Amino acid sequence: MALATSTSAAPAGSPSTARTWSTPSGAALTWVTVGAIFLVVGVALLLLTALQQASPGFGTLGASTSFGRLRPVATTLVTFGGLGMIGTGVALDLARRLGRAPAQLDLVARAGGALTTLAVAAGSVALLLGHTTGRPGLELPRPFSIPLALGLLLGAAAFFRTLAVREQDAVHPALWHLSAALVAGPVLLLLGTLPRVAGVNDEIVRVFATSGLQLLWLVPMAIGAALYVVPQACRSALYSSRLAAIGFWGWVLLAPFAGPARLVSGPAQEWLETIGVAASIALVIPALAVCVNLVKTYTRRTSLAHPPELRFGLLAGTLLAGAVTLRALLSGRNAGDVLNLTVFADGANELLTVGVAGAGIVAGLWHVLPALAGRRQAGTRMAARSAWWLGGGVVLVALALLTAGLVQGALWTHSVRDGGDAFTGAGWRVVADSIRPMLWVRVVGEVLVLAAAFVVFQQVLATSASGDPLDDDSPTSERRA
Amino acid sequence: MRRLTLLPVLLGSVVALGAGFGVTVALPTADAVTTTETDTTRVYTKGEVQGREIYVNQGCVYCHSQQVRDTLTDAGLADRPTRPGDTLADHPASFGEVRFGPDLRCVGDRVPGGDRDAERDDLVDAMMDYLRHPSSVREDSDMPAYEHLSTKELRRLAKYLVGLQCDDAPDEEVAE
Repeated sequence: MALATSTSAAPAGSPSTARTWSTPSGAALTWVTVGAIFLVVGVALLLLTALQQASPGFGTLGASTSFGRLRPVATTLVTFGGLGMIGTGVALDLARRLGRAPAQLDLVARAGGALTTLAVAAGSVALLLGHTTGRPGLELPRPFSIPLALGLLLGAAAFFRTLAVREQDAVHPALWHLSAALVAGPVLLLLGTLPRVAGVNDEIVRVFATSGLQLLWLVPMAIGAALYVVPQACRSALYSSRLAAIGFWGWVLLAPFAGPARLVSGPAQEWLETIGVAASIALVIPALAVCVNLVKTYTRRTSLAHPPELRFGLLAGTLLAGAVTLRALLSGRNAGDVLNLTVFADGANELLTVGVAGAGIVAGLWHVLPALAGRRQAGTRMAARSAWWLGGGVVLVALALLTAGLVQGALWTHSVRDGGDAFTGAGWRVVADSIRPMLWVRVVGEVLVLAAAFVVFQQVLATSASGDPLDDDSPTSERRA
Repeated sequence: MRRLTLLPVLLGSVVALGAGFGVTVALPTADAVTTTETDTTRVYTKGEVQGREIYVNQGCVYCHSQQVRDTLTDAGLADRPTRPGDTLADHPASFGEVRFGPDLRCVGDRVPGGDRDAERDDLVDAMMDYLRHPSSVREDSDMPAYEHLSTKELRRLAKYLVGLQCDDAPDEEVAE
């Protein structure tokens, strides 16, 4: 069963207005441009914090440049500023394309972009100055996180308003994921921020919200973008609507329950941990469905070209299957007892956030950028090459931290069995020194990721400022050679 | 204008999200075990609360955890695992996600450079020295120096950390 995904010019008989479905949203360009700037700054800080982990104290000139301050700024910029804003911009444009409807509520979308930009930028400065909630993944204090959620809601309002006036009845699977993501993102941010609870309850709320922002906001935006751009780039239909349905419903129904896997063997209730472990294992099914759907679509391609969006889309699908399978294998109690709280936690997060979400969202960006800017992409060859840098970088980071985590866990266990002391003083130093080479390998991986992020930044600015004008009446990039 | 036929998709997503919140947040947080004080619930003094704020705004949680899990790997950390009631005064929770540095749940029992039987004020002084220049107290330490903190801030942070003691907690076996 295949889904038609080809596009054509505005259908005859469509309302005769100044703005047609083929007129890109100006707001979307704002979202992706600001997002690209946040992304490259955030990834640069991620590299700096990786260096500080490998060489403690590196680059620390004062409190604001210490690891404890830079780390939350880096994750905030990458997650909310970079990938979140680019993903929302891509979604705004895909709503117009897939709905064949003129982009709606442009001013509202622009206001949302401005609010999001202000919240992320001011919030990052506040974090540098030590104003933080102290909750990893949700560090922005309420004066910043609530405007951020409102900004994302305004972006979502423009997206759904555009879909409400769509010309086509059929709803493309890409829109399923994008719709779910745009609802979940701001809701999860508010659910994670507003309750004021303490102790283990605070941790339960935090884990639900941070896991949800990763699995129900960023990753679905990436899947949605990939499910649209891969068939477009292959010039073929999406392989299977059944697999698309399994991928969507499986993901949406299981992901909200997967968070507590991070609490394994901690102070929370055991039944809660069991639910998290079970959901994490079951998530493999929808992840494989999405991956197989993308790969099979690729194998039936009618175009031999491998544009950047195709490479990034396939990378997202492949990394998704790998990351979710790894997460499932390691969420079991035996593995979790050894690996939870080791440095592998960082690697697993980066594989999903920067790897899967980054690749999918950037795939969407490469596809919509020419239409948004009204110009040809400035350097498709470099953009295509950067897929290798991103893929190689995140895999290197994940493997380095997985190895380091296994060594850390094994040495702790060994120390307990031998009656040694691996938790303080000299014993701790032995463990730290054992994993240090892997932390340097991780730095190499982060350099590759930064190179890919810089290409995103450079391409967005260069295409918007100096790309060749599209030589086509339609500003949609579907018509590019 | 067409009817929004995305309704099943949106409805399904919202219901699933709500169910996830209900089962993995509302139910466990409503459980009395997570909100009932125990004889080991920590109670912080005003000075310790101020010290905890410094712990939070310096981002200590990115390297240090504050939870003893019921696992073999954590058996050397304390006499018993952390229980929900122990953490009622902790907002934010500061359980931590990664241990780049040692767990601090019971750090008050093993102050670097401090004698276990020393007076509390001496332990606070020892902890201040360690925070200011870790490697001068313990050669093998690779913790960054916190000399950018003022003496007042260092004292508050040290008071909080020294207060994190577990020795008076009843013994209970950690996992085999």
